[in-house]
Amino acid sequence: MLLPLFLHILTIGLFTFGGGYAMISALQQDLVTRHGWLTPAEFSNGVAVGQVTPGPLMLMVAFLGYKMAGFWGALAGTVALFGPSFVAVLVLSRHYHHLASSPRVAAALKGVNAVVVGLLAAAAVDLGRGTLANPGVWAVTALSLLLLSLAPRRDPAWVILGAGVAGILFLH
Amino acid sequence: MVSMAQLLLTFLKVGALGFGGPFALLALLESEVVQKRHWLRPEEFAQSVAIGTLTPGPIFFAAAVHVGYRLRGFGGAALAAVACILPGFGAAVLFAALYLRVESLPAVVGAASGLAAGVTGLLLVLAVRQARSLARDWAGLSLAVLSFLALAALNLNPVWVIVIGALLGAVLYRDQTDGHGLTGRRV
Repeated sequence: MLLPLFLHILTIGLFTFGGGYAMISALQQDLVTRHGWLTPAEFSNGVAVGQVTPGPLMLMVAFLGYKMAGFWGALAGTVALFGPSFVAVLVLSRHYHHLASSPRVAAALKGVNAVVVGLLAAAAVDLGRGTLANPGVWAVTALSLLLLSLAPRRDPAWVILGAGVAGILFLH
Repeated sequence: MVSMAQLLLTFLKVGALGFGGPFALLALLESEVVQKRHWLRPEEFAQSVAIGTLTPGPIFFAAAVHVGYRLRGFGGAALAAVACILPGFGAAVLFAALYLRVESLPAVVGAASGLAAGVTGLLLVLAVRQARSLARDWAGLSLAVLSFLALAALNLNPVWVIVIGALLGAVLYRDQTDGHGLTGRRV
């Protein structure tokens, strides 16, 4: 499990432009929907852990990696996800001015920005398909949706945590 | 020159106290290295954030690595990278180890379905928010719909979707950036 885990997360680490939320969706699509290595519930726990632990949200890969292959899985997942970004910064910082002023690069990033919308929506639909099994879960989803759109500047972690508490109280 | 010890402590602090997503983390890093310690000027920090958007992966992490690199070269970059993720890594591993012991408890199963519901809501809200930036951008809206279909119906690898999106974007938006790059300067 360790090698496929490392290689799959490494590919996502290498090519997922568009920041952390694009990465969450890419991980969901690859590890849950395409390969079934994690269940939607396990993946959601990972996202929640990323929200409540300090530092980058993407440290959720440490949780996912641990679930898949123990401590070394956590380490392999973290190195695979953050490693490409580290190397890219060192390489690209020499070419910063050239890249930042290139219309081609700006155009490519606009394209990425557009497909990330589709990526986020697909991850939400797949996650919902796996978990929206009863009216209770529908209600919690609808309520989170409402709260998150009413208070866009609030830390989403509070809503996610609230949904978890609602789950403990009403959903088992 | 900024000492490695100062660098380590600052990034450990940001890594341990930074909650609330990418924007909150960038704001915390900025308040430490620009406002409090004056290690960088605001425009230098803005350049580190821009590098974060030009590189794959989390924008905050890339910006932190670049700040470390600017202050102390390769060693500074490596130190910043490790220090800003170490506290969160430890916490995530701890959570995972605990989770494996309790995952079949009814309360934990309930919490997991609640969390899944919340995360589904979050991803939908983010999709809608990001889609607003595509208003009246027909090329972008088509790309968004096509990528959704490619993923949801064809089960395509998400990495291909992103790479193809970048290539198509480079062609479709070629004339719309008016010869301006990210910095808005004419080339």
